[in-house]
Amino acid sequence: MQLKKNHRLFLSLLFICFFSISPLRTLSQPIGTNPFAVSYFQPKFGLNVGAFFNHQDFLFDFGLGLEELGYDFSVTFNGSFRPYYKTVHFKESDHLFWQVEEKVVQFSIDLEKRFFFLEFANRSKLGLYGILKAGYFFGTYKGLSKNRNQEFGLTPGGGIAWQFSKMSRLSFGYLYFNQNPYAHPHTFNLKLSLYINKDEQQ
Amino acid sequence: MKNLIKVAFFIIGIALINTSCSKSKNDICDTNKICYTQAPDELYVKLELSTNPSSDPIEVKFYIGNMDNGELYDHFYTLNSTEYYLMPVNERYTATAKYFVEGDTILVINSDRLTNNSYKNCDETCYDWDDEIVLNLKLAK
Repeated sequence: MQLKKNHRLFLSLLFICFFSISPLRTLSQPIGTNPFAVSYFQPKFGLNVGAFFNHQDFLFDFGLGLEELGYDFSVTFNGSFRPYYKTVHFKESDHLFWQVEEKVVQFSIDLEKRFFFLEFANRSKLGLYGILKAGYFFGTYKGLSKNRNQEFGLTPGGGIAWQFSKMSRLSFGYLYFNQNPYAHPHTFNLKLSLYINKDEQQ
Repeated sequence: MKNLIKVAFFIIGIALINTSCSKSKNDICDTNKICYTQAPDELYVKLELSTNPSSDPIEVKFYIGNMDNGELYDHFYTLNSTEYYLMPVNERYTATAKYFVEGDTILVINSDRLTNNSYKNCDETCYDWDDEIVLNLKLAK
């Protein structure tokens, strides 16, 4: 019950953030831009909050780090976790399985590069992104003192990025989360990024 | 300024999510509220079991602590769907149940901590607890 309440609160806050940050003026006339063009170096501190999920799993994802707005890339430290226990089965040996309650966690360095191909009059941008999470994954289990399925791995992904003004961005795409042994690896990835940008008005 | 407001809004949002996860009854003073000033020493641990598909009795093990580094407290075979233990609080308990399904053995493991919560009411420490914790040892479908 408490978990459902927290999910509802999180989603409400996500929507409030989205609608308070996203201006309707974004609907103005778009201009095509070269997705490989870069500007001068504009490093900013940024935070991101998101989730990756499919029909079998759901993980929250929080991060902070460098947002580079001139070259359109970011390097962030992220922590992802499943906020509930999921029942899974280990194969311990031939004909012996363990049924346990599992939570999973991943700490990762996320490298993301964006390629914006549309720019609006208010400098909002729409484009594609590619991401690579290089991280350490592990599972914790009720009744077992030690973590299992510990693994260093790479999680690639990509999708659509929409940068509103110069301080926030919403991304939606695909993530190949293959470290997770007891769920389908193909996941959707939804992420809201915010960064401190004093140059916004310029 | 506009940026700072937006960042502050975001941080407040995160803080709200964080605080909503914890149950807090601090800073209340209600003299009509029932306050249990004595913490319970023992509470119930309930084990819930499935019927063994092979119809044999289910082998159950009950541990104080975790299965792999805890102390084996009880070991028995049963056909019952529930079992109870009255156990000291502030300990973790783990139980296992062994089923035989179409030639395979499935060991179901579950664990939880038996605790009570305390809070202040008019400078008194009050205790709150659930009567039991449930360890679900049923076979997943």
